[in-house]
Amino acid sequence: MVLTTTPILARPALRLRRWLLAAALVLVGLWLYGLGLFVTKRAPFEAQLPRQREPPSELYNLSRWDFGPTVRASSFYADWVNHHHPLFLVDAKTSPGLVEKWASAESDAHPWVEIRWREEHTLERVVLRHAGSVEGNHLTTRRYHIKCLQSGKNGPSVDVDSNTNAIATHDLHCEGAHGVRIDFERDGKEIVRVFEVETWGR
Amino acid sequence: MNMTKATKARTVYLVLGAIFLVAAVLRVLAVVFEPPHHPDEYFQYLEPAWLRLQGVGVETWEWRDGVRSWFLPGYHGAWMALFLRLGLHNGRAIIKILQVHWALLSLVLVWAGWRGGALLSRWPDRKMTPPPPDEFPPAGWQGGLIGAFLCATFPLLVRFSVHTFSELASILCLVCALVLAGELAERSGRIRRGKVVWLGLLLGLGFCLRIQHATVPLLAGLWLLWTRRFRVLLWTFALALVPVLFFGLLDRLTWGEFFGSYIRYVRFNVVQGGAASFGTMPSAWYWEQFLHRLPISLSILGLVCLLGLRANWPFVGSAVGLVLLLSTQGHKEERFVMLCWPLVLIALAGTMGGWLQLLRSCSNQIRWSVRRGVAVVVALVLADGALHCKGNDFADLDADRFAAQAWIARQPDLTGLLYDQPFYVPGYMGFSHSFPQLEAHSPLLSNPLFSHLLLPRHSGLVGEAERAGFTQVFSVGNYVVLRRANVPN
Repeated sequence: MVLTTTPILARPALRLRRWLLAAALVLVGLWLYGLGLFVTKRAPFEAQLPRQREPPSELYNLSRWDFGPTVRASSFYADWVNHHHPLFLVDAKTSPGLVEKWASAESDAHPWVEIRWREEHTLERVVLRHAGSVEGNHLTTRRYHIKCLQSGKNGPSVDVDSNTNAIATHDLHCEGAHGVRIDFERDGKEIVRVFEVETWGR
Repeated sequence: MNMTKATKARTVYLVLGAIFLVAAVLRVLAVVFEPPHHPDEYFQYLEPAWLRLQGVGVETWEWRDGVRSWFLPGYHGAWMALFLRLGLHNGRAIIKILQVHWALLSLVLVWAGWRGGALLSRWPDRKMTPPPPDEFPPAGWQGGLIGAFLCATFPLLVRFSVHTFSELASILCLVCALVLAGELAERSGRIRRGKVVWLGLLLGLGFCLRIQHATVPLLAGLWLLWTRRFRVLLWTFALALVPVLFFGLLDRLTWGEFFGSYIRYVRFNVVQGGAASFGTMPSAWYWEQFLHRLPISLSILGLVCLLGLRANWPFVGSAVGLVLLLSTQGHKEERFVMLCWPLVLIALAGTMGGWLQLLRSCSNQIRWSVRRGVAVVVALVLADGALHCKGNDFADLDADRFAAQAWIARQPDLTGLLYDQPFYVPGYMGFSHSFPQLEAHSPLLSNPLFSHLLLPRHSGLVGEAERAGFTQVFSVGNYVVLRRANVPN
């Protein structure tokens, strides 16, 4: 009795089960590959702004948002309400609010930012508007390292050990530069807060 | 007679296949039309993975304080990493794919409805020899089809099946596990090892994904104990420890402490009562919510479940236990008790399937009446559910808002976005842009980075934004999108 009924339905069911098993194995394999990528990758922030105007010929702030810089950062502080986004570093706002600054994530032990321009320029100086320029001066970062980014070689750099200026200007002459990188040293558990990075050159 | 049995088997196969097909179509429609249910589905289970892979994303306080396990974001993150490697960088598209993935995975509920409904339909018949494992259709198949159909089409379940919540993942594991527990409790003689392994792993996984769902593992254990399946119970317990230990180890690797996220979660929500800071509801709120969803048929559903309590007590007990447990907590959300729906629907199907089983010796007229009665109950539950399935825990999470967000996400000139409510957005992943997004305040209108604004049509900020140089470029329902027309000096 069973013989006449079971094989009719068992065959397609068995075939379906095999197909499902094979598909599941392929999906598991792909997922494991993705898991490997996920575990090994920790990407920094990176965004390029669209160019909205042509750069002038005189000395100007190369990093200004409307010249279309690329901003990279090791991290940023982005809770649900306050996103201290890295692009605030180049918004050129003269009197920013407390939220309009870049702040590193609490878990970021070695915060850094990079600002790259679209073309090579001659850099003259770097101006950092630290936390103290808007909020308490005790939040201003004391120690950091500014490096000029040049193609294929290490550019000149500036080491800052005990900064107390809320608006710190650092002369850094560098030809053929395409950006700057600033590595910050955290002051204990304090996160790094910077309102603006200006890079003056031509 | 042989032909009759083969024909019946083929018919049941076809009906079951059609139910699966209907379930899949409904879930695909849900992917297209269902708006988000809760901000957590983005910010707790997708955005952390996106932040790790793309360097941009919202980090909520739960993720700063280590209150969440990395399991589900890690699971999503593996798929995201794969899609990124394949060249798909659009976060919104990846979210859709993940929703389709959950929608398809949720078809296991149809399987659970089929097996659970059949199991409960034949359960009271203790004199009957358990059916051979490969028999098709199994005894109680009528209840199985009702269960599969209800799980496939119940509107709230269809809607919930596309959300990237830990609740959904846990529901899928635990409902299947309870059905497996029942099948193991039912059978005498040789026990299928594979089934025991699945039962243990699913119970452990479902529990770890959502520890509030603990009533299901508890009732599954009681069921095995009640039916004297001591060896199965022991093995189940041992195997359930595997995912539990894995979650503990994962916390050790990611947060530096064994079960660290669970300890902090319980400490914050239960010991410190922190959950109450997100709003409290009266004790009877969950019952009111159920009544709101099925105002006409809830009493019938409850009555039928009560009539079949002898067989379905593990299902009904798990559901009622969950509601009682969660009712002790001040903070309540509907998604917390979504597990109750598949459990009671399977209980309902099992009970009604049992009635159909008893009809074999009855007159045609009685059989006809009972069948029509069952059909009316099923239709009533589904119609009632469909009429009252609208709305979420958050009334402001409506489809228009997300249509406006989807439109903004497609704008190539977007360099920054201001919106009225930071909780009702899909994060950086959902916008697929790395540019800043913040709650709109007057001083931010002068920041040149913010090129777009999303506001309710009647917000006071609309006029202010227009005076600051923004113009309306898109509107949908109650929402308008404004774009900066000229750059502030």
